[in-house]
Amino acid sequence: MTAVADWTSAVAVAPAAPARRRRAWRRLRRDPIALFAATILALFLLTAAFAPLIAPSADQGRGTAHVASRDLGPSAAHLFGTDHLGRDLVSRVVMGTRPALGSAVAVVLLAVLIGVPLGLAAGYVGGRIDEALSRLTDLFLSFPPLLLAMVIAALLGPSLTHAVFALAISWWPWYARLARSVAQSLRHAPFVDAARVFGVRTPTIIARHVLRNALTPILVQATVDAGTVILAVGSLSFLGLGSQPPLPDWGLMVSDGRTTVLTDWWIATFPGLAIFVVALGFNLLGDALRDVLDPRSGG
Amino acid sequence: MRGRMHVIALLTVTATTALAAAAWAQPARKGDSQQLLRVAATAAVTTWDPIKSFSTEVLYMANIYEPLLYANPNGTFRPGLATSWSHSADGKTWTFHLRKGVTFHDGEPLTSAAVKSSIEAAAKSGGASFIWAALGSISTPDDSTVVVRTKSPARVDLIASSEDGAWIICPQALAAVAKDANYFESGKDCGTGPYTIKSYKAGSQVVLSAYDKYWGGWSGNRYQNVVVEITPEAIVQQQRLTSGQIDLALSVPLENVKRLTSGGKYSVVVQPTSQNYTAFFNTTRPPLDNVLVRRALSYAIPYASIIKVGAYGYGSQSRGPVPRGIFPWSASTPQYRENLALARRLLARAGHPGGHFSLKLTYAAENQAEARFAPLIKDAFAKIGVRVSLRGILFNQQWAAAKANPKKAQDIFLLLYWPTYSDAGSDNLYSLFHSSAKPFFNLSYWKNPAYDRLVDAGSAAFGVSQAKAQAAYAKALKILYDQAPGAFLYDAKLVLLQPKALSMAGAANINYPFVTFFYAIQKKA
Amino acid sequence: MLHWLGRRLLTSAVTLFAVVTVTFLLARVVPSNPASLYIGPLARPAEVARVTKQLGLDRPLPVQYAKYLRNLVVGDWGRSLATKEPVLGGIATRLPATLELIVGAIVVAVALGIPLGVLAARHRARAPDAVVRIGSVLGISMPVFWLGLLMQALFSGKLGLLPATSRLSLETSVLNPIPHATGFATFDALVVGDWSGLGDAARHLVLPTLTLAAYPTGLVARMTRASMLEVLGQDYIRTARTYGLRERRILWRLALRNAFPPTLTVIGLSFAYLLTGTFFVELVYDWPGIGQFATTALLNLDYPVIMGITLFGAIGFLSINLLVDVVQARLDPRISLR
Repeated sequence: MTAVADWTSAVAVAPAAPARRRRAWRRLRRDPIALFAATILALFLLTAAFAPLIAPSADQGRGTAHVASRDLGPSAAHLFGTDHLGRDLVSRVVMGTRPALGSAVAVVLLAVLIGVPLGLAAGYVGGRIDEALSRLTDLFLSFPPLLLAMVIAALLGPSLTHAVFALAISWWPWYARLARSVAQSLRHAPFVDAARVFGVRTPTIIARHVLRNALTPILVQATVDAGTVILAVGSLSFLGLGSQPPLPDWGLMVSDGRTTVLTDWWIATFPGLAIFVVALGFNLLGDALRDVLDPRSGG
Repeated sequence: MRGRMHVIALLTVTATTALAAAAWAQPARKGDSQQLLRVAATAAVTTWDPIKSFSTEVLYMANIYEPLLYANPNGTFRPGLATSWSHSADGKTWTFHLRKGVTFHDGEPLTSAAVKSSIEAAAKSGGASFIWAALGSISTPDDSTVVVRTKSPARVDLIASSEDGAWIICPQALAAVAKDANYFESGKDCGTGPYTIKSYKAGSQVVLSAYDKYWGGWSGNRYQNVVVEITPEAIVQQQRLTSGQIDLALSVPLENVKRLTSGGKYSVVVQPTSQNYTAFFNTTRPPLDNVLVRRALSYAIPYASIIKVGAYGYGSQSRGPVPRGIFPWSASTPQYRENLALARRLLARAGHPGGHFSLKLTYAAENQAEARFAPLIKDAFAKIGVRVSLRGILFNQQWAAAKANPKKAQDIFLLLYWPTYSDAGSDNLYSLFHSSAKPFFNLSYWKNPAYDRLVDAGSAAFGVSQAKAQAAYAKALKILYDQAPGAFLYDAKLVLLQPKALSMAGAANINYPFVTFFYAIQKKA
Repeated sequence: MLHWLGRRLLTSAVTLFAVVTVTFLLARVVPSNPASLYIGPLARPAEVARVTKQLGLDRPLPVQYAKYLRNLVVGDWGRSLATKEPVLGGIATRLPATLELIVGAIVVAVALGIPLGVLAARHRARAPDAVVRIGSVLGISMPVFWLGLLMQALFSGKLGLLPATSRLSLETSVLNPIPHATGFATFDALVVGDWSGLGDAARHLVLPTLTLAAYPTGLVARMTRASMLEVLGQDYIRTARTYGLRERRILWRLALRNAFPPTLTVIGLSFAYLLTGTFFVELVYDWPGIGQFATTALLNLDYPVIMGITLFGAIGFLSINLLVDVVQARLDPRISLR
């Protein structure tokens, strides 16, 4: 294992006692930055859940054009203005929370579902399985993640689904590594030894005991990754390798607004702002979680 | 130790600051652009080989090489390397008399032998070799006469004026490329045209400099040097133009044209082009195998909105797949008008009252216009109960998928097309809708024997009688209107931002898509 | 150490081999139109067939694969389908431009991030700390393409302070070209004393570099702050204080030196970001680097270039990781390379 990997996997080893978790939760509740971030994310989640009701015009949000009202600046009728096809930008941004948050959750979930079981198994069992997994993760980790996603998305054909799939493929090795190092460090922990002595089967040990300890670092990583994924999906769509029109993808909207950024500045600014704020929320929350749950970080 | 480190640090900081300040203080150098025309174009160079050339590099080729004659926008011809030409009554023998005193860029004189080998090379292995399909033999009775004999009557004047596959190249270069296929690729040329390649940075910049022995001479305020910055993004071209980096931007974003011209520094020149947009209906599958459904959809298309949004108004609704201004376009060719009520009635008659079916529409993701107006088609069809799912795919993939299996392919295919040389009868009408064993450009997969017969008849007649060909094609166009295997959206217009300081008469020509003739650009006195 | 290095190089070679194979398969399996890209969009079936044969695309897959590997080894990475430019040559021509941006971004990140991180650690829980923490989180959350557009619109479009696009003005590149030595415009101009050229290159470098540097600066600042705090809380620092060493000396010499290795790791990690971040910066600022080369190839499905850039990216990435590991091991005796 390389020095670089050590850095990413440093984590407390003792089993998480319920008391410690309660204390952590209380600290989190009192941290103003964490509250701020959680509020922002909750707002966006709510918006995504009720998007068609919140958007002034859900149809325009979904992509229906309104040619008569093209390129209007922000006004009382259209708080964020309208775009090149006359669609109300508030509706577009609001409806855009769905692909944005949906894809972030999908990528992280997929990456966790693929990477964590593999990593846990490899780290706990060791031996040949561990070797094989290390080779595989090395292969994927030898690419800058976004480059791999770009190549896959381009070859499969640009679409949000392919972009999500491509990003999940690029992301799972990080979780595999994370899970692997947790499992490795717990292999000979006293409580695991005890479980073995009592005859608990290996899969159960992994699923019940080892996984519970891996949850914390995975949660922290997932939260921060969600922000990175939103940036990545937006970036892919900006290039033309992600969502295709008329999907209300924020990155796509920024790309649409690029030619008129000096005159119709609102078309590129507000969707980009949305990406920024959501990524900010995830990053801040991830930071707060790390501070609270990982006592070794310099918080 | 501490002192030394501090001294080093101090020195580094001072030196860097001094350098930065000195560099910043330098005013931007104003170049001597008297003789230099600075252009931004999207045209990448896929090959410098004039025989193989069949893509965007035609912009440069048309300034380096010349054909025997040029097609004027009004249907007549202008002498190029041939000063006069004639043909036999049966249209199978064409005689060209070459211009005297013309030399290639390598100094060798233009001879009929050079013309013969150029045309034969193009016919054999050219990128657009198909235009010479009717070629029989070429003879050279003397140094300045070329006689072209064809297997069937053909309009060799039109073919020889093509921007692809009709360049005249010096024999030395032809011999060299026969030995080494990559001979031209580093940036070599050997034509008769006004410019020659001075330097080439792949994907970035082409510099052309004047050929001083050009037969047309260099009188007037023509530019002796042209630097073309290859800039695929229209917005970047605009940024370069407004910051004074370039004199001429060949593609600015259409949505900004009005603002750019309002300042008074530029005027806009709008010209027809031979490019048009067609939406092919997949006629192999229900429901689009029903002609009533296709007609209904043709009535549902919002033609005016598509032009307003897709082309920002710079377009005119198509009459069939023949672009306006290219033979055999005619104002009497019928066209559909948006009429949703009629569309609904036709759908009901077809057995689909209220619509209630879904269609998959594919378009080229990198084509900005299609990306803009495809949603309008989706919205319009939704009004008559037809659900459309849009798929933007990179053109190469869109096309590969469409050719692979018609039964499993898209329902509607949006295509931007233009004829290789200005005969949309043997090109558009044939390529786009003539039946074929394996689909190529006929992406409606339509097979109509009556139509095929008419188009074949038109092609055959064209070599002898333009009027007869026009009549046959008119009937074929009527069938296309009745059967609606595709919807004919709009003919694109060329929008050129002309700087006040330049005169650009003759720089653009509908028969030469993607070409700007730099020789025709002059600085206004 | 050599043993470790040898093993690492071997595994890297195996990884690269796998990378090449996977991209090759992906590129061939997916439907595209290589012949059309080669000739032109209106090429007819006869020509397409001829070119398909010429490019060897009608041979069986294993044969094509073997030929590709053979050519790779001798340095023939194929030619771009779209421009016929040799892939390796194309990468080499454009690499200095991209490196200028990357190195510039790293320099900015280090020059700004480390002092900011130290400042934040020094004044923990007070105003400077808050400012740096907020600033660095803003930096790492910013979409780089959006930041680029806004900076370009503001500083170039509205204020007219800096050039909007390109690496050099046409006056310099065409009329007074900087003689090509290393390919780095700034360095080459400096070496021959071309002050105008240097100024031109420097002016064009500012906006793209700052755009690219936002993320790594934030990252470096955070990392420096975190590791400084961890180090400052340790016993030997307290001992140094009781011995009366000046605060400033403690800060910079003892603490910073110990905080450097994790920061170095961050720089290595942000290399991944920098490599793909240049794609967007080069797009927005029309910077003629590898990012532009890659983006065009991806959108055209110019698979020789895609494969070449993927391989090159993998090589570069693996090399940087290797370098970071070696340097870290040198700097921090606690880390051993086994």
